[in-house]
Amino acid sequence: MLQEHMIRILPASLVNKIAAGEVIVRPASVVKELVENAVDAGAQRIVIDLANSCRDIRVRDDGCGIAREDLPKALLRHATSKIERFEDLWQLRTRGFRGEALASIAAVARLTILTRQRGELAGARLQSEPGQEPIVEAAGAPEGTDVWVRDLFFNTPVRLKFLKSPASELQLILYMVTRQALIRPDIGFVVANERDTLLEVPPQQPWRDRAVALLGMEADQHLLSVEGHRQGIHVRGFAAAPAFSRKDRRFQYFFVNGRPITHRMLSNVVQQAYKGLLMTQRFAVVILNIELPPQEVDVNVHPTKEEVRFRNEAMVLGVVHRAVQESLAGANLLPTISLSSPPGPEGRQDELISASHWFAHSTGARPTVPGDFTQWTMQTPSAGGTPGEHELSRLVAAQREFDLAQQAQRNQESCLNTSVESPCSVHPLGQQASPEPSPTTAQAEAQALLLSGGEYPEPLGQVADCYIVARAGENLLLIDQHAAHERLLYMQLRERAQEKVNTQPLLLPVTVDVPVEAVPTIQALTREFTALGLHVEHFGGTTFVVQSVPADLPSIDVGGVLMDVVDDSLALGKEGDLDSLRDRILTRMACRGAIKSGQKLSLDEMRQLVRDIVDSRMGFTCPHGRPTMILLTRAQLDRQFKRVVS
Amino acid sequence: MRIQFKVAELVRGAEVAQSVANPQSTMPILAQILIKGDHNNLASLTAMDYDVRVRVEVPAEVETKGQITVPARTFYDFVRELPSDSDVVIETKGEKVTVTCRDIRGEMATMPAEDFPIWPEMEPKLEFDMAQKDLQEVLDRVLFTVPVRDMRKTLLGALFEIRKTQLTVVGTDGKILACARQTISSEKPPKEFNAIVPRKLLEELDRNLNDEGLVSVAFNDKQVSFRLGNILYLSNQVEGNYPDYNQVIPKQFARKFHIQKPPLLAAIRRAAIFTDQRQNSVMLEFRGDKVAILADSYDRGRFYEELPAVVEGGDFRVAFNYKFLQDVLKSLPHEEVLLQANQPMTPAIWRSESAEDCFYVVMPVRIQERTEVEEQQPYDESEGEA
Ligand SMILES: Nc1ncnc2c1ncn2[C@@H]1O[C@H](COP(=O)(O)OP(=O)(O)O)[C@@H](O)[C@H]1O
Ligand SMILES: [Mg+2]
Repeated sequence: MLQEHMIRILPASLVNKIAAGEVIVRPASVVKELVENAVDAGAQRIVIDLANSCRDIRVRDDGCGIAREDLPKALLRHATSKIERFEDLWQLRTRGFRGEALASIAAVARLTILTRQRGELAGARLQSEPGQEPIVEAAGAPEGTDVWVRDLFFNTPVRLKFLKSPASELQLILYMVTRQALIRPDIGFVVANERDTLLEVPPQQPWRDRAVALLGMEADQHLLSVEGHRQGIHVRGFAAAPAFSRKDRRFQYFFVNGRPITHRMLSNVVQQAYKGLLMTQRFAVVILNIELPPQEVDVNVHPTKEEVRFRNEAMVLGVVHRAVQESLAGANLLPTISLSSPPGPEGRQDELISASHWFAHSTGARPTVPGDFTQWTMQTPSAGGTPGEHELSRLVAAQREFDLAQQAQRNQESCLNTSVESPCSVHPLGQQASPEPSPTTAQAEAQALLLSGGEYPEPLGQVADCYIVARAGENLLLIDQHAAHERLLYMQLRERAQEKVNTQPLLLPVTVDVPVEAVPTIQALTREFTALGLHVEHFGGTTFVVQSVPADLPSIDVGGVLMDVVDDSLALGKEGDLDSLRDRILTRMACRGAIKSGQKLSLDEMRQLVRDIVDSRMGFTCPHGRPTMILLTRAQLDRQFKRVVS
Repeated sequence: MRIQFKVAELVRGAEVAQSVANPQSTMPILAQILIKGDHNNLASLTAMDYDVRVRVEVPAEVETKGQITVPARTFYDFVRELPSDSDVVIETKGEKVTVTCRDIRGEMATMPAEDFPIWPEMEPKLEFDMAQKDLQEVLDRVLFTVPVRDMRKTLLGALFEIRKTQLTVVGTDGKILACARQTISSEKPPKEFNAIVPRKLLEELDRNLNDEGLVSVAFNDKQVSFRLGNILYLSNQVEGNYPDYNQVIPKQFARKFHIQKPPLLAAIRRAAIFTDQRQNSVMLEFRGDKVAILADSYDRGRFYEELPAVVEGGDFRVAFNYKFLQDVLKSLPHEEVLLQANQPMTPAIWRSESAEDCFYVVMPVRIQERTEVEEQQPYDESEGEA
C-alpha cells in the first residue's frame, strides 16, 4: 500500500516505461495539470484565476496540501506521491502519475506554491524561477494548495509567439475545465479572468444539474440518461435528444473511470447508435463515463493521458452502443400525437407512440404495392411525349452534362481554358469558357445576357421549391434560390462591414444559450456582431440576448447564427483566432438569412430576388465555388432541339 | 370493406384530409388517409401530421364495414379527376384497395389500417361557439405574423386568450405583433383561459372556414379542437408560455397620425420599387398636414410622394420595413388608418381609425443616417411636384 501523499522520486527503470513527451505546450495544459493535481488532492472546490492573456494562471484548492519537507521534491522530475511501482499503473485511481507536470511548468514560468497540509498548523511557501534553486520557507496559508504560475513561456519566446489569441486560449481552458467539471459534480469549480467569472459551478451538484449548467440551459429538455452494463463494464451518463445535436464531435464527452479521454471509436459507435436520428454532418451530444476494472484499461498511452487503450475494446464499444441505443429508443423522440387517448373502440392502447414503434413502421412495414399491375393495359409514355416533358428531360441531361463539365474543369485546374466540348455546354454564368477568361469581361457578358432586352429576367416559376426558372430575354435562366440569395447576402454583408447598417430592433428580444466555453468568444465578438446589425448582449451566465437584427435580414435565425459561430469558434479552437471567425460570421449570417431550399416563393418574391441579384452584379458561383445560376442561351436551346446544326 | 360515395362529396372530404397529411414525412403513416366506414350511411376520412389531425365525415353507402388507408396525395389527385356526377366505390381485397368509378379503376398502395393511430377522444375543459366568419376575420389579421420557423417554439402558434366572452388572438414574429378581438358565445364562459394554437392548424382552418355557420371550439390543457360542420380538427397546443405581449404594447402616445389607407398603400407599393434588399424600408415623414413617403437605394434611385395627413404631436420621421407595412395595411379594415407613436425608435401602433378590435404593434427600423451631403433636405418642393 502506498504511503499517503508522500512524494518519492520514481526509479529510472520505471520512468522509462512511462509514456513521455512534452506536456506543457500552452496555457490550457498548465490549467489541465494543476486542476488534475487539485482533483487528486481531494479538493472540494477549485478556483482558477486567469490574467495577462492567460499567461498568469492561479489554481487554488482545498485539498490535502503538501508537506513542507516534500515541497522542493514536488518540482523534481518524476517525483510523485501517486505511484511507486509499474504495477500501480494498472490500479490507478488518480489523474496524475508521472510526476512531471510541476517540473515542466517550473521550467517555463515563475512559480509560487503556497500550501498547508490538512490538520497541520503551519504552512509553507515555495518560490521558483526557471534555472534557479527554489526557495522554500514557512508561511501562513489556508488549508489546501495555491499554485500561482506567472509569465508563462517568458523564457521560451518561440512558444510564446505561437500562442493563439487570448480568446481561443481561454476557450480551450474552459473546454478543459468543463470536461473535468462534467465528471466531478462533487467538486465546485470557478474560472475567472480579470473582468468576469466565466464559469462557476457549486460543489455537490447532482450530475444532471452539472451537465445542464455546463452545456447550457437548453440542454435541460434534451438530456436522456444512459445506463448499461455487462461483464464488469458499466456505462453511465447522458445522451442528448437528436434535436440538440452539434456540428462536430466536440460535445461528445467520454470518461474512463472518471478520467476525460478522447476515443475515435467510441465516438463512432455513439454516432451509430443515433443512426437515422441525425442529419448528416450533425453529431450527437453525449456525456458517458465508462467504468471498468483498472487493469482492463491502459492509460499510459500518451503523455497527456488523453488516450486510452481497452484490453477488450469490442466489448466496451458494444456496451456503449447498446446503452445509448436503449436510452434513445426508450425516449419518445418523435412528436407525440395522441398523448392522452383512452383505449379506443379499436381496443388499442398505443397512447405513446414511441420511437421504436415508429421505426418498426418506417423500416418494416412499407406500404404494400399491389403486385398485379401487369394484367392491366397501361399506356407507356410514347416516345413523342409532351414537349414539356421533353424539355425537362433535356434540362436534366444538360444539368448532368454540366456537372460532368464542372468535374472535368476541376480536374484540369491548370488549364482553365480547355473548353469542355459536350453536346450542350452549359456554363455557370461568369465562368464562360472563353479563350481569355478575364473575369470582368465574362461578367459583363453575363450581365448583358441577364439584362437582354433591357429588362430584368422574368421569373416563370419554381422547380422543386429549390430553383427559380426565369426568362432572360430569349434565354433561360435557372437560379438556385438558396445559393444565389446566400451569395447575395454574403456580398452585401462584406461590403457593408465598413458602413453603418440599418437595424430592425426587436419587439421581443431573442435569448440564446451557448455552451460555457463559448461565452468568452461570443463576448469578444459582440462588436463584430453589432457592426453587422446584430445587437448581442451578454445577459449573464451562458445566456446572450439579441436586441436587434439587420434591417435587410428581418427573419434571420439569430439563434442559429450564434450557434453556428459557437461551433465554428470551437472547431477553430486550436488553429483559429478571431480574425478568421469574423469572416465566418458573415458566411453564417448569409446562410441563415438566405431563402431556404424547399421554401415556396411567390412570383413577387422571385421577381424581387432576381432584381436584387441582377443589380448586385454578383459572382455567379457561391463562395464554395458551386454555381448559383445557370444560363441556357437561345443558341444552346436551338442546338439542343436540333434546329441548328452546330 | 366496400363503401360507395358520390364523387363530389368524396373529393371535398379528401381535399380537407390530404391537406393535413404530410407526404414529406419520413413516417409513412403520416402520408396516408384512413377511410373508415362503420355506420350505414356515413364514412370518415382521417389524416394527421405531427401535431394536427383532421376527421371529415362524408355521406356514403357502407356496404361492407371496415377501414383502409390510402396514400393521401395519389388518392386525392385521382378522385379529383373522376367524373364529378358519378358514384365511386372504394373496396379492399386482401392487401389492396381499389377505387372504381364507372369503367375507371385505380389500385393503390396501402398500409395496415390498424397501424393508424386511433383518434384520441378529447375531454374538453372549455367550449364555445363563434361565427366562422368572425374566426376567419381574426385569422386573416393575425396569421401572417405567426412565423413558419423560429427558435422560440411558443411563437409558432397564435395565442388564444379568452376572458369571459371576449376572445383575443395574438401573433408575433418578434418584430411585429398582431392583436385581434372577437366575441364568443359560451354556456360557461371562463374567467380566464390561455392556449397557443399551432400555425398549421390555423392555416387549415383558414382554408376551410365559410362565411356562414358556426365553429365550435374546445380546449383542454393540452389540446384544442375546432368543429366546422362535418370537419373536426384536433391538435396539440404549442407547449409553453406565450411571451407577455402586453409588455410591448405602448399605453400612451405622444403622437397620432391619421391617413387614408388606399393611397398610403399605393404609395408604399411604389416606394418599394425604389428600395432594395439592403434598405428594405420606407420612411414616413410627417410635416404640417402632410406625410411624405420616401425611399432610396444606391442602385435604384429615390422616391418621394406626398399625401394629406392629420398630424397630432408635431413633425415626425419614422422608418418601417416596407413589407411589414404592406402586410399590416392590407389587413387593417376600414379606409382610414391611425398611426400612434412616441419616438422614432419605440414601438408604434397601427390600427383602424374606427375599430378597436384589431391593431398591430410594429417596431420601426433604425436608419443610420448617411453622412453624405445628399441627405440634407433631399427633396425641395419643385422636385416633389415634378
Ligand atoms: N494541488 C496539490 N495538492 C496536493 N499535492 C499536490 C498538488 N499539486 C501537486 N502535488 C504533489 O506534487 C506531486 C507532483 O505533482 P506533478 O508534478 O503534477 O506530478 P503527478 O501529479 O504526476 O504526481 C504530486 O504527486 C503531489 O504529491
Ligand atoms: Mg500532476
